[in-house]
Amino acid sequence: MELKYNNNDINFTIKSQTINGIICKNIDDITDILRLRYDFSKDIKIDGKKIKENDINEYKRKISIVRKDNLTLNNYNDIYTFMIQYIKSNKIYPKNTDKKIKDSLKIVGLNQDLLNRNINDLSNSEKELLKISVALLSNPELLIIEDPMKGLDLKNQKKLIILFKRMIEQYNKTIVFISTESETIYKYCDEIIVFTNTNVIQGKTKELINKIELLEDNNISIPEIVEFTYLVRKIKDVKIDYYNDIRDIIKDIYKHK
Amino acid sequence: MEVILNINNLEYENIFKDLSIYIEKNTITTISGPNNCGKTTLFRILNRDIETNLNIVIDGKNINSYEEKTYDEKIQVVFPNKLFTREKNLIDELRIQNSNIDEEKISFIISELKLKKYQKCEISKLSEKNIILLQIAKAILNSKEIVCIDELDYYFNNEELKKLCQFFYKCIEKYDLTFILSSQKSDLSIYTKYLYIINNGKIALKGESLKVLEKDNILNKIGLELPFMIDLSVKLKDYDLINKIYTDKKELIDALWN
Repeated sequence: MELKYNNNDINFTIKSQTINGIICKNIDDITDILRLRYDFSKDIKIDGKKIKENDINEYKRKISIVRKDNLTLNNYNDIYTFMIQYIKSNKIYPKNTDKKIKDSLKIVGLNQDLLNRNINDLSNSEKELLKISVALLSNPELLIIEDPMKGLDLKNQKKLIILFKRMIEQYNKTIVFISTESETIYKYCDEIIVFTNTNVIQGKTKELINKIELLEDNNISIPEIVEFTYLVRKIKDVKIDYYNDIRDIIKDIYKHK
Repeated sequence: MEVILNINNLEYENIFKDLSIYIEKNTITTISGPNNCGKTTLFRILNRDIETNLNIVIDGKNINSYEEKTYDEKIQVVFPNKLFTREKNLIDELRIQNSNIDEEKISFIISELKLKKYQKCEISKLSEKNIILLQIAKAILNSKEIVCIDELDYYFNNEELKKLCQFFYKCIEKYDLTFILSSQKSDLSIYTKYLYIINNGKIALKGESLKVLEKDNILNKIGLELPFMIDLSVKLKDYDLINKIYTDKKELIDALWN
């Protein structure tokens, strides 16, 4: 799904079949646009078409959001009830509900024994993975994840990236990561959209990775690997290249020694 | 070295097999490990939420032998995001359950945690981060010896973690406290003296934080990401381009090109 937002001040495109990364100050504002809140929907085109008022709900069903907080989750005691409620309220009609629930847990690497546990007893990482598994229940075309990879160790992060890439390549899905921090976005996204104080900058990660001033001027944290390269160039005038993999930067340092 | 907390050969369900931890008084120790390695369970045991007959000793006495009130004064365990009575305001929440209110301590803590301007603010109107800071403030206020905070790095970025640890060191000096922090990433441990890594129910690595972090092969195998500067330093050291670990970018750059 390609989503294009275009009004006088703000223009950006969520590219189809890509991991898009959005860096912004206020995650909720951007999520409101992407979840097609009524007052924004008039400025949105999906796959090149304007959204008709009557079609908004149909489009909304194709979009799932993994919220950064656990507020919805904390309203429930047991996980099974939470998932059943999600299925009902989102009008999902699986042939076999229990199988659908178990499969959605399995796909993110969670054990089905989890269904018998109390939500309050879950660790933060289990809550993060559970939120993603629930978002996948509706088989969304566009999956939006606020504060992605929060609380997940390297193994779980790698597992999820493999899952997202498979969703993109085999099932033509589109993924959006939204964060106030740049580190995860630079690490995992192919396309980046930065909301600055005055406008929106969009480009391929490779093109934007050296635009330090863009982040600095807008009080956005700079990924450590990018900041290191920037300082080497600035302090020592050594022209090592910008990379987002530490092994590449080591090779370049070795070359410039 | 004065040990304030001993966990000896802890075995619990399938989570811990022979886990031993010794916490030095007046220090900050990070307990880290991959997802679901048992960090939160360990803190729940320390909070006596999970009853055990295990050999855990604080100040020379088994944790089960303490009266509830005395135990609460010995150790406070913070599980971020546990809900408060939300209609109270911040300052009232801090004064509750605190019979001998130390106004100077309250003032110091809320000023250091930048909570002063929210004193009269209802808890329901505080941001998630400020609610967690309030939980931390309350624990520091109520504990006379140990403060444990679970998954601090889930809520705060590296810059914020650094400032929080600086504040904890001030509390160690001023109030004779000891801090134990659990963390899923290893970044937090750069700011703390000791680091324990739990994996498969056992201690996989332990010692002074920077020395533990140098063991990049083991940490990567466990699934823990190394802090960028440590990762870079260790690799550059392997190539003989530098001879020690740097946590400061400018110092490392000077070492490389001077």
